[in-house]
Amino acid sequence: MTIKKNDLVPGQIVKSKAGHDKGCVFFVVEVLDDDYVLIADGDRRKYDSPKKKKVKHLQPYNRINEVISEKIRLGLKIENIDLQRELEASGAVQLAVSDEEEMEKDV
Amino acid sequence: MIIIKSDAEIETMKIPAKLTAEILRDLEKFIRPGISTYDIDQFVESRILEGGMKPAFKGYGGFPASACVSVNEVIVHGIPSKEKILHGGDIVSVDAGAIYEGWYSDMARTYAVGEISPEAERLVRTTEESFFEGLKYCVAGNYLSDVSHAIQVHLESAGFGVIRDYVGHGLGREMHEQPAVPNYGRPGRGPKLEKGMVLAIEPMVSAGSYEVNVLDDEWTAVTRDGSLAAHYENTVVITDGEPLVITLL
Repeated sequence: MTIKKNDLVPGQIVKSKAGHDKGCVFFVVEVLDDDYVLIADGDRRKYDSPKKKKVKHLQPYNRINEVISEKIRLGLKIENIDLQRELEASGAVQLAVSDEEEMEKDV
Repeated sequence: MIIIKSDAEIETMKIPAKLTAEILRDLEKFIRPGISTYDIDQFVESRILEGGMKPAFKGYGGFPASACVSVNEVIVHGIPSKEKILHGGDIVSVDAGAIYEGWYSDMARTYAVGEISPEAERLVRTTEESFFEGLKYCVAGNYLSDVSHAIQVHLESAGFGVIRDYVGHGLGREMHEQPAVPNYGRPGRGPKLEKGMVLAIEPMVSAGSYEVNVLDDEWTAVTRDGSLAAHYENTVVITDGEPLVITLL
């Protein structure tokens, strides 16, 4: 059975496609329903006050950070600096800067 | 997280995969004008139960049947119905899976109902071919999107639309594991393939535009322009060498 492309999961890296944060990358920290998720990057949006965002306003990357997703799953404390470091280490920030590097784009 | 399967786990996964492959093989003889999509579902369900396994789709996310049965412009997730009768010239996609000792199988084929048009035949054949184009890149060390790209290039060079809204996926003790496996994209992106990854690779293809509408039942996905759609899916294991397609007999 096929899966909908935009089925986001906690710990997944996404790029904002609309709003003041357009072009910025975030982690999904909670999936609220089919249409909305909570996102945070530890900088603009802290882990304790994530941004509610429409799924259709996010570009998902096919990349899930195992450290962050496990911490979310187990309910462990996540520091904002962890989100920043993991986003930086993932290379997603650089990917978002260059359209050439986007993973989900059409040919 | 992409869950790597051991050799022993893959041996277990071969068991529901083989049963599903046998059922979808036998459907070829069963599918004919005059039967309903419900009849197809009952065929699939009874054979899974006779095999001592559980239908993987029944109740999954609220899906009400054991097989997705998608006719003509329906791309995926068609809900079987006694009222939906097959006619000669239709094409029908059947997607099904079984659970054995907690392990899932998942595969799909598109069948001709009686004689179909040359264009429908080309759609079904090219969809199948695109899977095997992608399979060539299912080698440890390649990027996942190398597979996606090969599928897309084959389909679009034939003039068909690659469905974007639905994708393949990892498979194991869950029906939908990471990674998502799109049928489009630039090569050299996404995770690298590793030995022990199990992927459901499933090109979904439109004879026209790739745009999709979902009907009010919140399952049935149809082509927005009403053009025919086809679906071909196998479960692929990444190994040290050639990929292993465990849903091929």
